[in-house]
Amino acid sequence: MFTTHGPIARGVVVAALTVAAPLSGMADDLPQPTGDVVLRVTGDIAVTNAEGAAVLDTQMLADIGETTFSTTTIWTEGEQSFTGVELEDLLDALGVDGGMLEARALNDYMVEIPVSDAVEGGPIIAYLRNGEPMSIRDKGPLWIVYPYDLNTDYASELIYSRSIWQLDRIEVVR
Amino acid sequence: MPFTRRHRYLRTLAIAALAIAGVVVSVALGGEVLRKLRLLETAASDNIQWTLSQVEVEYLDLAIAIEQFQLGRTDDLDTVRREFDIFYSRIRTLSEGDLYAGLREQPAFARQLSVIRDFLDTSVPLIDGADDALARELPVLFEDMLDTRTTVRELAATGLGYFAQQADLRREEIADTLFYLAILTIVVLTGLFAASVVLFRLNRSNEARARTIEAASRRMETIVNTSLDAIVVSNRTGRIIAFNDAAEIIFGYKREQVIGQLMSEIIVPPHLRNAHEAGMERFRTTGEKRVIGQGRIKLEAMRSDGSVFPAEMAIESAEGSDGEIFVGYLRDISHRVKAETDLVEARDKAVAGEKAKSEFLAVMSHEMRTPLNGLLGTLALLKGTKLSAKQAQYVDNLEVSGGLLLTHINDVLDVTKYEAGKLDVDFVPTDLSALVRSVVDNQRDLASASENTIEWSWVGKPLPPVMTDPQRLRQVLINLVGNAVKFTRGGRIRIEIGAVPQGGGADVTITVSDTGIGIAPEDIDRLFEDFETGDRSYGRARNGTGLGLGIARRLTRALGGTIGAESELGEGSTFWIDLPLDYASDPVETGTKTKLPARPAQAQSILVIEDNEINRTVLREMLIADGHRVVEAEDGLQGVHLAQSAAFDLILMDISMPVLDGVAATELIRSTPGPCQTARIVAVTAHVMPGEVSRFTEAGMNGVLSKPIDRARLRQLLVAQETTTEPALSETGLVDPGRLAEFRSEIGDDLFAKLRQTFVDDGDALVAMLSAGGEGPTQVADRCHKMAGAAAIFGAGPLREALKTTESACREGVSEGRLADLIATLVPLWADTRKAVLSDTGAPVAL
Repeated sequence: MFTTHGPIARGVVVAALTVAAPLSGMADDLPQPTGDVVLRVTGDIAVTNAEGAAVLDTQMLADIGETTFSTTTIWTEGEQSFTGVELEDLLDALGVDGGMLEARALNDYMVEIPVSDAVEGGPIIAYLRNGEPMSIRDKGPLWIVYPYDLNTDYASELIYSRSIWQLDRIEVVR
Repeated sequence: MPFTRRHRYLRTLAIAALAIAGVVVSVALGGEVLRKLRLLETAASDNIQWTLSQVEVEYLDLAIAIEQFQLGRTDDLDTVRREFDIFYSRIRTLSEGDLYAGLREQPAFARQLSVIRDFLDTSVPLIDGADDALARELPVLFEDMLDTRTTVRELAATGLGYFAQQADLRREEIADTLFYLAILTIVVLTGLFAASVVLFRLNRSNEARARTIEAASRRMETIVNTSLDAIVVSNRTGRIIAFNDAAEIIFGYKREQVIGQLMSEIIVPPHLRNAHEAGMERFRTTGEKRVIGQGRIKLEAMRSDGSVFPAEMAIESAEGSDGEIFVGYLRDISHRVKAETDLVEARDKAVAGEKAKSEFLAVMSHEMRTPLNGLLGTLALLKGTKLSAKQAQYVDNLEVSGGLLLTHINDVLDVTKYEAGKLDVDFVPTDLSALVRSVVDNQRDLASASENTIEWSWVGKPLPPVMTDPQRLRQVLINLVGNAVKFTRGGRIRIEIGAVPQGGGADVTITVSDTGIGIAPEDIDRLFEDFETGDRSYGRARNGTGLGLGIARRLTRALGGTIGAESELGEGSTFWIDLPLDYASDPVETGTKTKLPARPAQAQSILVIEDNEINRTVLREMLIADGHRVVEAEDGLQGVHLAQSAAFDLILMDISMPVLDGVAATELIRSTPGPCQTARIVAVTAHVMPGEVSRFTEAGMNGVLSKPIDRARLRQLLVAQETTTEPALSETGLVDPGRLAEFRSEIGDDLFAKLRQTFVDDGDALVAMLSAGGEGPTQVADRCHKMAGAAAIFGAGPLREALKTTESACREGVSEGRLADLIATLVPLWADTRKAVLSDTGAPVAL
């Protein structure tokens, strides 16, 4: 899909560079992805690197900030170590300060995550499980994981429903 | 009260337990409900159903992707691969997720899952392989996939069915829980309602109690602070915790000075501190209370200036908020103690004064009767000489006046005797008719002189002889009739004797009525008081000692009767005496004492021992006139010598004499062998105080002739000597029980017991001394003499004789061997006598 829309996305970025740069000067903060794009954020964001969107590869996510914790999940067996970027850090980086995230997966599963969920010590967008990148079969490449064991508030079906795997898109809505 | 308190405690406990149980169950059940509600809430999120339905959706997505490729609509195998991976991921979630652990235990689901996994695992190498191989083998893969189509559908259906069932179970559980919760809520609400009712009532009663306690406390505070007694409260360690206003005044401390101080150091005087501390210590260790709760006790307390004062104190213990406390109520009784002391002193003085008065009267009677004796005796002698008619009249006048004086003295003596409880009454068979007649005869001349008629009669039948003391009764009647005669002029005096039979005798009433001046009713009661002479006219007319009716009353009482009077002014008076009298079993002795007895036929030789010359002369002259031979002695010693030199038929012995008194002289005569050792000895004395007569007889005298001497009695004495045999000393045994009983009744049981003890102690001491030896003969004689006197008092004749013998032997100079013999006799005799005296119980003895 990214491959399909690759040239368009590039065009958007160029346009953003020429049009948005003088206005915000923040486009420079978000470099262009060098690896495969794993996440595309659209909607009410202040920082973009493509046409109305921020496209990110795994390295870019890691650069924003890397967090690791261990927890069990109801979908896996035994304790798992997850590494990824905190949702808060990502939203900060994208200049999101409120509203609702509409997160979508490869299988078009969509769930709404309020921006208020994005707190320090809260959910991360994981790209490593037990130190290994996750394949699609392993619910990869991105999986929003809450530290279920660290905070019992997260051991609820609502949070479980927000724990979207095979994540590839986020739209920020007000 | 403890039961109520316990009851209340238990009730509170029960409510508390109920409340705690309610809370625990509520929390537990509430928690359960909340947990289930949350489960219910999360079940509504539908995640599981979505996941399960997604299995089929993603299976179909894969199928569509493969079909699209096979139909040539796309040559992109990536979509196939992605859809495969997604499907794979979904199945893996079902295979591995904890959420589906329960579901996986369902055999159908496990089998279906296994089939699908087999397909996926088989297909993975192809999917992961090269594009051309995948493109070539895709139709085969698709065929395999379609084979699992039914299984995928069944898997989803099985899962959904399972979770639906789980949801149902959970709903049922929740329903049950809610039901229990509802019941519990009702129970808890009911409980809460009950509790609030109880609490409301408790609160109300607590408020009421608090108000009561506050009021009581205020009242108590007022009481404590207005108490006139000091109130000092201390705790268990003896430290003062409260000190009221009165305590401040009594002890002279300010409250703040003493609070917290040791009570023993503040108010207990130093000499009582050890005892106080010991008491407190004893109480602390053993709980024994000797002072506490024992009511009022008297002790001493100390003021702030160190002065000690007598106090009356009561201590109670009570339970305070900090353990046991002691509440002491203390009163300064200095004034009371002083008043008591003063009262005792005053009483002692009064008693001493009374005694002095009595002694004075006794002495005066003696001192007055002795010269009167001389006077009357001399008059009697004068009467026997030749006198002119005029002289005879003067002598008569003198005799009347002397007799009157003697009566007054006897009145005074009677009062003294009565007050000493020693008024002798001698009950003998008495003919009342003769008695009253003699009184009438006695008074007839006086009555005539006042132009009064006097008469007497029985009301009803005359009584047979009765038992009474005729001398005393006569004295009373003469007094009453004498009064009647004196206060009546030209009237009538009437004596009536009435009797009402009563048991073995009769209640006799003798009334003396006159038609005289009478007495005001309000004065009647006072008539019988001593020194009371009625109204002034009575006093003038009587011109007496004022003792007449007082003595009459005393004598009547001594006779066991009562006396009274009724009168109106100007209407005359009626005096009456009531006497309960027994009939006499013996006939009345004949012969009157008022008539001069015949002179004895035989002249006797008489020794008169008397120091007063006049009295001696009177006696001598009277006796010589009757033809007797008389020898005189001027004192006791002289008398004893004479008695030992010659035999006499009779010795008249004065008592109070210089050198040797009558009693001692008698003892000497009796104890010394001589011509007069057994001669009759009669005391001649004005000593008429109680106890004296028995002392004389104990000394060995045979009778008493009281002064002043009159010829009649003297003759009677000498006649009696002729006709009666000499009364021998009673020697019924070692101790004369009659004498002992008499002595006991004379002095009373208490004094008797005391004297008897002294007697026994003296005897023991004497015997011990004699047995030990080593004393000089004079000392032994003195001791024996003293003991002999005591033995006489206790009627111990043989002992007395033995002591006398020993005394005489010692005085005459005795050999050692003789003395040893005497002592050998004395020792067992004393032991027996001692036993006999001590065995006397005061029970009546047959005489």
